[in-house]
Amino acid sequence: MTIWAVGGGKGGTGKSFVASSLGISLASRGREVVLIDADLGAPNLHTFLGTGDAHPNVGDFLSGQFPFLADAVRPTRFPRLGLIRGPENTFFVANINHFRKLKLMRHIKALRADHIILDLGPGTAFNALDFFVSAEKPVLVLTPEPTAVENGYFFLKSCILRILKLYMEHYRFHEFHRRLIDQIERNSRSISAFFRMLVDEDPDFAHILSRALKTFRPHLVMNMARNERDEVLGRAIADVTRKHLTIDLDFLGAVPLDIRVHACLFDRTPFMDAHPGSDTAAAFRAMAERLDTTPVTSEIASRTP
Amino acid sequence: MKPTPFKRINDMDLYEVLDIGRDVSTDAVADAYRKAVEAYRPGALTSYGLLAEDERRSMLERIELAFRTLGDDERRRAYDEETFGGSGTPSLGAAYRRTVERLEIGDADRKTGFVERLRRFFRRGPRPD
Repeated sequence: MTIWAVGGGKGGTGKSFVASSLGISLASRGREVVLIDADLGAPNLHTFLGTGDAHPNVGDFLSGQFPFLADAVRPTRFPRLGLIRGPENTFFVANINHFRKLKLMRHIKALRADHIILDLGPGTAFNALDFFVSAEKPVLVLTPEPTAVENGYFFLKSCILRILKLYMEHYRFHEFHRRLIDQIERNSRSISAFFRMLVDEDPDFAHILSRALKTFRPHLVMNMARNERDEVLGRAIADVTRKHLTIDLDFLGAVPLDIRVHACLFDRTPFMDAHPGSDTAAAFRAMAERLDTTPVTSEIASRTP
Repeated sequence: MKPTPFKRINDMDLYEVLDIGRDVSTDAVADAYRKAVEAYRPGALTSYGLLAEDERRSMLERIELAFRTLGDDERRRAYDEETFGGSGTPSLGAAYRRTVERLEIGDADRKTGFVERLRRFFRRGPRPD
């Protein structure tokens, strides 16, 4: 089972569109897929999939109306693709506490599927960060514009700080290192400057943390690409991230802008269903193929229509 | 080419700065230079929000230096010889050269130039540790 988390600092970059399209592509490859709307504050993954029933949803589970998250999985119009909707009354669940978050994570891991895709909300709140950094395949969605790129870097830096902080807490590193992190949080020093300081003051610890970061390997999707330059931009962002943030950001690909996505939303029709022959749909199929690494077993393949 | 974790901008060798291997052609150096300038020029979208302004500037200066050095066959040979030598580990000459390079970079910006730094050092005295 693989858990994906689709996130990225800025709102409106197409996280839900990417999550739903990847889910549809993986399901059409013969995989059992569950999509979860984990944007607890502003869910709308269901609108991309054109599904109706508001209940059951994540909110019902979190408020204790039924004991297992698995009971909230509802079929979609696509075979093998299930959906767990986001909460209807966001007011009560948008800011879940740490323990409810852990409970949700536990139940997500207990779901039976080949792929579980979490559609996260924008921003760098701990809820989004924790789901993103703990996913096996974190997917960062950007668009080729300064606001999205800037927020994307803020998001990645926050993820790194979150990992380092959890790591330090776990190993009870002494006050000095905590001070360093506090310094970067308060003075908004860049991560690279922080590492420079760390290398100077404590090279061994810097080495330990660099190894801790090795486990965090997000993928980058450049959504709404208008031309080849936007694809080049995606590659360049992955390169400079590797160089300066010391994390291995893998450029998954560019998704060509298609203005018909907008119309599909109005019709509540999944784009992948309405325009399977488009370049945009082909881009998602290619990404799914690249990331769907385990071979399709004969049993699963026989279920393919 | 992947950089070593936590390498400071001034500690990256000139090939790392341009993200190229040591065996690439002069044309490839020019291509890499154009790509790098595009990524770190003022207001560049690629590094927008990634680096602090002073870091971005020193990266750009380092890129210029890399192109001046690696884009010229004669200088590139001398740099390779001094930096990597025959043993693959940086030589004493390389350390000297890097120091001079840093001073050159520093002098490119008058406010943080070498002379200015010396002046400030004597005005303030050594940093307390």
